[in-house]
Amino acid sequence: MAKRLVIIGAGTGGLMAANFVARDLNREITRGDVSVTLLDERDAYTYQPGFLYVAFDLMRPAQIVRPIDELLAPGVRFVRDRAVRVATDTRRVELAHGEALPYDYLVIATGSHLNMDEVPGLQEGSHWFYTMEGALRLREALRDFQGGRLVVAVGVPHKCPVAPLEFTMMFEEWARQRGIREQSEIIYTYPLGRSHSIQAVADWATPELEKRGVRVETFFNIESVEPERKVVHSLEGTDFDYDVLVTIPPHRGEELGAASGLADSGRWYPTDRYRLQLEGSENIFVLGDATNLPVSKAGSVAHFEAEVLADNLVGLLSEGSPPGYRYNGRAFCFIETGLERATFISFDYQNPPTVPGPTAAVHWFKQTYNRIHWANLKAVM
Amino acid sequence: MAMEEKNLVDTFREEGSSLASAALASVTPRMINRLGGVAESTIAALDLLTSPDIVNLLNKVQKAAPVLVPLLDQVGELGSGMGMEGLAARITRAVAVGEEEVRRHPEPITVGELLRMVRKDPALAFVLRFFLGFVRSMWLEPK
Repeated sequence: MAKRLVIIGAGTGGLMAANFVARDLNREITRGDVSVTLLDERDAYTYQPGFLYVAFDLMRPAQIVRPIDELLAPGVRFVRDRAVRVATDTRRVELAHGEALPYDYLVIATGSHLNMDEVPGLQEGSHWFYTMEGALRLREALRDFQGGRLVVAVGVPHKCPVAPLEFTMMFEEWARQRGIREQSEIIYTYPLGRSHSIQAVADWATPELEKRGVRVETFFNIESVEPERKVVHSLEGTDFDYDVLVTIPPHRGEELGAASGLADSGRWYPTDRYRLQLEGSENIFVLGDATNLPVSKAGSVAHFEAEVLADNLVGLLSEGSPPGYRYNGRAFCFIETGLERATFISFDYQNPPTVPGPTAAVHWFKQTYNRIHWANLKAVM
Repeated sequence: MAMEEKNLVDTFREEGSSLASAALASVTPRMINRLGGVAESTIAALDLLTSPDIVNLLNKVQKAAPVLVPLLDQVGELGSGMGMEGLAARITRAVAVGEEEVRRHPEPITVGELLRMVRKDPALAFVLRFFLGFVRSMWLEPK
């Protein structure tokens, strides 16, 4: 009987893990010894880092969306449905349409999602670029923006930790290019006592922002937004009037974790930091944003984790060998520092990042990656 | 070295160094393996494309191109008037023309000649792109 791998979630981590395993075990899949099933209720994949560019009219929505079935390696079976519960006792994933998928090995790659309800007024009073709908609405707001006060406010936890800085720096240069910088005030707020959660990034970003005339307000945890009065309040008691409020809404995990009794109160899955197994389980693995690991919730993390996990799954599915490859906490993030230059950070569990000086070459590297990401997803490159 | 020239060299060095650092920081052994696989597939595809059988086929396609290209343009009109019989007649005529041309020029073309023809002949370039897309979808990315 075939060994069955089921992967829940066709985001970056889920797609890559499915494709890596399918390409490595092509013969076993063809012989019927192994099956790889990818499960998601969506039929299209969205390259989420592209939202930032959509908001600034630098990429079109169609450039960052592809049908999932075009991204699958040969041998991956795609099931379009929603997982409602993982029954670990019977090793089955129960689906919204009533059926169930049996598994021998399960990967949970359900990502993280906006939790708009946590902050009163956030949905009605702010803009964001963490969904396609939000990015398009922000694009309209920016097209109409002729000057005024723009406030950036950051909820926690959230994915893509450098995105608020990128947006602020891109906006500053964008306003200069449009000749409205003089009429614009930019306020960048952050919930901690510095401008970013990573010390090295904060040390680099604060003088960069100040040099560009951006006001930095730390210890600003969004408490509520008053859409009619256009005021954002913080828990610390600071308030700001705004013309445009751009927020990074707080995130949480998918409902599935709570419904299955497998996730913590934030709906994140307790995960072994090296082997990516769900704590207390031998045959369930967690990938990407869905974990509770102390690493960034970012596409690169899902990618690096997927490579390690795929190697372990290939061993398990083909030889029954126990997981021997270890994820070392590796992360890589580009940081756009405007519209024409970028830098990057790279770090892992042991080594904190440093921030090199921004260059045009890294910006174009990022632009190139935005367009070849698909080959990476398909495990072609 | 003049100051401007020195600055230019420094800029290139700085840009190149940052790019190399970013590439090193983002790449993984698996990506290198896969790039190796892509390179191997590309070389294999070139081998395939330059094999005598394919060059012969391309030669036939090239000869038939003047007929095939308008045919391809008209495929989309099938439902609105041309019909299957008309399409079949055109295909028959196109292949016949191609074979007749090949009979008159029996020597297979070289890749260099093919590339020169492609540069000069937009119709052939179109057909070749169509063919390469077909090879890519059927062979390099099998479903």
